[in-house]
Amino acid sequence: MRIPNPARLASRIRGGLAALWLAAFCAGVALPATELPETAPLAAFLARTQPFHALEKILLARAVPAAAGASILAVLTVLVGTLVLGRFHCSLTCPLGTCQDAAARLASGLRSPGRGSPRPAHRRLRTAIPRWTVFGLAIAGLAAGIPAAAALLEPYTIFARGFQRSFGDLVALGLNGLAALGARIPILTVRWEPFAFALAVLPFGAVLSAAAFRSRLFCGELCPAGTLLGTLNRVALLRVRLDRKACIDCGACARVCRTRCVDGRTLDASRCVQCLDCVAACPTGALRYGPPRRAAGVDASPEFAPDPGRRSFLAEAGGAALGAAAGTALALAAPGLAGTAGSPLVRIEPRGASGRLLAAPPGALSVDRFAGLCTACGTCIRACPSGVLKHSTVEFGLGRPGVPYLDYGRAFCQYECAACPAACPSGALLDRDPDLKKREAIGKSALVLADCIVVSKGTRCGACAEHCPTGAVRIERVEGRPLPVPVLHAPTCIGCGACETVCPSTPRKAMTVSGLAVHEIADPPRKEPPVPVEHPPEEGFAF
Amino acid sequence: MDRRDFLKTLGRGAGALGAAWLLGPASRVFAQAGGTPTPGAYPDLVAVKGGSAASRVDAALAAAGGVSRYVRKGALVVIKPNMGWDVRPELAANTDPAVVKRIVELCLAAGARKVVVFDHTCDSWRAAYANSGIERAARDAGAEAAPAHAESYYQAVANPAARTLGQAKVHELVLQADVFINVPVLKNHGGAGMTCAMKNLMGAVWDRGYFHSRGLDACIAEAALLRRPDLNIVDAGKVMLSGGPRGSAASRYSEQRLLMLSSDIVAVDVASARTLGPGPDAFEYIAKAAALGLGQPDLAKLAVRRIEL
Repeated sequence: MRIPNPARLASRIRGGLAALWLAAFCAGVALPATELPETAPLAAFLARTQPFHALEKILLARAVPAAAGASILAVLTVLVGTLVLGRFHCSLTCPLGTCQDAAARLASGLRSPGRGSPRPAHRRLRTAIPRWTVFGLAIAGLAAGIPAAAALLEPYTIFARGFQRSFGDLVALGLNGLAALGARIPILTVRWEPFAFALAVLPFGAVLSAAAFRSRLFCGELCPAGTLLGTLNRVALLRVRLDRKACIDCGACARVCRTRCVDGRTLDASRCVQCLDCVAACPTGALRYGPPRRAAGVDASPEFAPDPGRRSFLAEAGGAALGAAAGTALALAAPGLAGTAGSPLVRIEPRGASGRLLAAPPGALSVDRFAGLCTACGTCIRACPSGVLKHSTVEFGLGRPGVPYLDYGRAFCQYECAACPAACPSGALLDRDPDLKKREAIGKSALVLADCIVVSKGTRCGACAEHCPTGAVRIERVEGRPLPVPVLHAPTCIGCGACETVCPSTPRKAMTVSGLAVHEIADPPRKEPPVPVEHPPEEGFAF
Repeated sequence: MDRRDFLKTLGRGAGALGAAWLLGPASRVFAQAGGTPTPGAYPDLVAVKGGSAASRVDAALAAAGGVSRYVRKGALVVIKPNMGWDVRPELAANTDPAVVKRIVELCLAAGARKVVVFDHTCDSWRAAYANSGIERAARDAGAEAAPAHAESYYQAVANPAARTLGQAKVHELVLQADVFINVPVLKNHGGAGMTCAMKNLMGAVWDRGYFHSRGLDACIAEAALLRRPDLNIVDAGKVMLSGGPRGSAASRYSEQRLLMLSSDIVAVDVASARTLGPGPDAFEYIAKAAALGLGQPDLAKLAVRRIEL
């Protein structure tokens, strides 16, 4: 059977697969993992396939090679794959890329996502400085332990945060609307948090808005993953190639191109995302996807115009140098300058409004280690069933915006739960034995008896001891006190925050939890009750 | 249309709406409440010892006159077990799922139109519902496990006879139920001393912190005034003696293999307090509840049936 336009078929198949891949991502991050627990492993797997996110993890995880193992595999697979097949990731397996295509299609009335330029390529201003600056900044920042440098610009994190917060919250609100109308579905908690919202929606919104006008502007001009893969694309074995001799200058390719990289006279392989639409549109076959042809005269290179060689190299090198310089400046400004407390960029002791140290989630090992690896993608917050995890603003430093912490006032960490380390795609939270998690002290409680209502109001309470999962706080008879009062045994406390959450005392709670800068192993739960227990008879009836 | 036609249409519309209201939302107001047992013919308090959890439920209900005394055909039955904690059934911090399952089965066999199970949990609700084993047991028996984790499920209800708990937000299922069955687990409680039938009602209201801050004993007693359970079935199969309500490594247990049943919430708590050991005088809320006329604290004045399997 002869297929009239194999490239168009290939492009459609590619588009279909990309849409499915995006749908899988959306299913993974759209609703809280507690509502759709089946999607949690899917989301975790998909996140690990993203090359720049994996690269971030490798660069940040200098001291923890085990956590970087799967990421090294992911990065190598994509890099080697790109060297063989071209920059396929961007048009197939990057969720942000497919979102941009969708935005561009919607903006053009569901037609092509291409946005060809009216001016021919050789007369347009082409510079690679922005994307190499971004790349240098990201790499240098990561090497210096400042995730924000990359996390705000890296496609997976932009997508995950943005999609979770915008569509995820919209879906949740929509479902709550249906529940209000009588549908038998449980109500979902949706919180308004301005900083987290801005951190999520602004980059995502900016990329998609740009896509409406300029299709894959982000991919061609800014994306650090795209910069790396684009460079490899130029020397890839199989990729879209241009035979200038066969070109009749019809401009069909330029009209459908998503990154404005082709127009018949030129093909900029470093920007091409291998969508194959130009190959499908070309009437003479001047554009094809395949290996370089060895026959003389055909497939003349270079494909840049007018004089790409030295100028483009200098531009790119200059951009990279600029970015690296900025990143290095960040690195110097970060840990070194301000001593043990950190600098405005990196706060080693993040404190909340109360002045108490913020607690990092279980699996963090230490606050500084965690914040240095966290890309603020928000997946752990989505996975948390009690809703205790919350995005910080800049408490962890300007270079670490949005790092999650435990906000004890509104909920507490569930003793039997280990969802956040399992959800974390960057290895900032180490996923280990759940029984180990039950002994990991992420914070310590403190008791101020004067604030306890048993003492201040003479009324029995016991809420704290009721909820304490390790028995660190117990209600006991104390010499000189008319009513039994809470007694805290701090070595047993794991800092789950249940006591603080349920303490009814106002304006100050009697039990408050502070985070531990370095997590400890708490004492095991005590095996002896405070007073010997009288066993009632088990035979017969007591009444 | 002219004014007369308009007024006629308006009248017909109002009539239609009124009829719909009478048949729909208002019908609950005019409907009969679920079974009030005939006094005198049956025991006031039944206690069954031995056997399995399901056989204890069977024996207790049979001795009390059968489920049909309480559950009429077509009734909406709402069961409030204790499934507040995200712990496995072996720790006996929640009601035994086998007890809940048997009650659901018997209610459906008696012709209940629907049986719903819920609790305003202390731990995260999905985990507590699942790990307590009660959601699965209830569903297997044909009941529905309803959520109770959001404030919008609760409605404000006035409590005129109360002094401390003047009003509370009560779960809508409790207000809609034809039959409201309270199924607590008997155990030690760090704050209140004992948690049983009256204390279990704390899981039917939204603001539990209010109870702790305004006077725990008074609020526990007055909560029973909001909607008296039609039936209280106390699971005392495995009784936590210390470290309650959540239980910990330091908890001690007593295998009582006991189940108690009564419409009198005070009587069943008195019997439970004696079973636990300290007796009713150790728990202030029992005396407070008796003073409010919620039940008879003197078991000698009641017809008590004791069964050993």
